[in-house]
Amino acid sequence: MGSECIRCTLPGVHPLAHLDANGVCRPCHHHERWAPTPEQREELVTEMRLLLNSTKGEGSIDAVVAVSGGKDSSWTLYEMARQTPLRLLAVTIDNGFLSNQALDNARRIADIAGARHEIFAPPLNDMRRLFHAAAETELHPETGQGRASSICNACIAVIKLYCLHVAQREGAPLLAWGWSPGQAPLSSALYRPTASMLDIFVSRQREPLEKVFPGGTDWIFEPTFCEDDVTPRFVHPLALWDYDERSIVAQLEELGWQRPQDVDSTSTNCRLNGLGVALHQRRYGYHPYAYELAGLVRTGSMSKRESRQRQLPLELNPDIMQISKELGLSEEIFR
Amino acid sequence: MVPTTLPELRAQLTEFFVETYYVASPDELQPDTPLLETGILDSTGVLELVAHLEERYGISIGDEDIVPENMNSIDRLSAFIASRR
Repeated sequence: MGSECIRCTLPGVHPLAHLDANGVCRPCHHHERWAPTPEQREELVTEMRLLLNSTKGEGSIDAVVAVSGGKDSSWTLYEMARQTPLRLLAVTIDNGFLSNQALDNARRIADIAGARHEIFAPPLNDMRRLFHAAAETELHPETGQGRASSICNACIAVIKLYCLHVAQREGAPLLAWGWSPGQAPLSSALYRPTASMLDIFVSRQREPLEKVFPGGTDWIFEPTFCEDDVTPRFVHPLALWDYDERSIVAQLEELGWQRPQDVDSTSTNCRLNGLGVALHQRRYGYHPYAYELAGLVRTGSMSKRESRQRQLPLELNPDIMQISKELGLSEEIFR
Repeated sequence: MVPTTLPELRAQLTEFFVETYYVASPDELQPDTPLLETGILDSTGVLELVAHLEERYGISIGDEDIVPENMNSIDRLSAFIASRR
C-alpha cells in the first residue's frame, strides 16, 4: 500500500496531498487552521434555516433540486420537503446509464416529497460519444481530476448546465445539490454567484463538452444571466445537516428507496461509475472518491478504516467490461 | 500577523493557494495568473477562499463583492483586501 495521510487517509499520490514529514496532508493542515468553529457553523446553520424557510420564487417553483436517485440527492430532496415550505422541482438527468432502480428511487422520493419531477434524457448516442471520449482521455483540466473520475466530471458538467438552465427557466431563486460534506466545503453551502461569476462557471463546464461536440449540440445548455438578473443561489444542505451515511440509507429504505444492484459498491445511482473508478485508479494510482472520503474522515463522518476499505482497487469485473463494451471501448484502455 | 503591504498580501495569498488548491506548478502561479479561467478556483473553491479572507483579514465580503474584478488573480485579490482594511 502506498503512503497516505495519517489523519484522513488521503493518498500521498493525490495532487492535493503534499504529505509533510509527519505524514499529514495539506488539506488536514488547512482544516486544522481554517475550519469553521462550532459557533461559525451554528451561524451558517441558522442562516440556511432562515433562507430555506423564507425564500419565495416569483413563479411556481422556489427551489430546483438536482436528484440522481442516489442516497445523497434523494435525502437532500426529502429533507428539504420535510423541513421547509419550499415548492420544489426535482430534476433528474438520465444519462442513459443511470440504474433503473435509481430512476425509480428518484421518482418515489419526488412523489413522497410532493415535488414536481422533471427527467431530462439527452440523446443516448451523444451520451455514449461523450462518455467514450471521457474514458479515453481526460476532458477536464487537472484541477478536476482530484475530485472525480473523467466520466463523472463529464456527466456532472451536463447536470450543472441543465439544472442551471431549469432554475433560470422557472425563475427559481434556489438551486440545491446533494454534495456530501466531503465533496464541498461548509463555507460554500450558501452561495449566490453574480452574473459575471456565473458566466465564467458556465464556460468552465462547457469547455470540456465542446471538445467532444465542437459544433455544439442543442442539449448542452448555455444559461446566461445579465447583471440585473436575479441569479439562483446555490445551496448544498448536506454540508450543514448532520451527515451519517448509514442513518441516511436506513431512513431512505424505510421510505421505499432501494439500493441499486447493478452499480459498483461506491455508487448508489450510475452503472458507469465502476468503469470511471477503474480507469481513474489505473491512470492516476488513487480512487477518484479519495478526496471526498478523506474529507468525511476529517470532518468526523467516516472512520479511517471504512475510507481505506472504499478506496481499494476495483477489479475489472464482468459489469465493468460490459459497460466498456457498450461504450465501444477497446480492452487496451485497461492496460 | 496581518500584513500591511501589497507584497506581503501577495506572498500570503500565494502560499494559501498553493496549500489549498490544485496548482500544477507553484512556480507558475504568478500575481496575474487568471484563477477562474484556469480552474484553480471553481464555484466551491471561491467560497472557501472568501471564508478564509474574512477570517484571516477580518473583512466582510458580500456575494456582490465576489466578482472577477476582485477575485481573478492574486494581484486583484490583494488590491481588494487592501481596499477593505
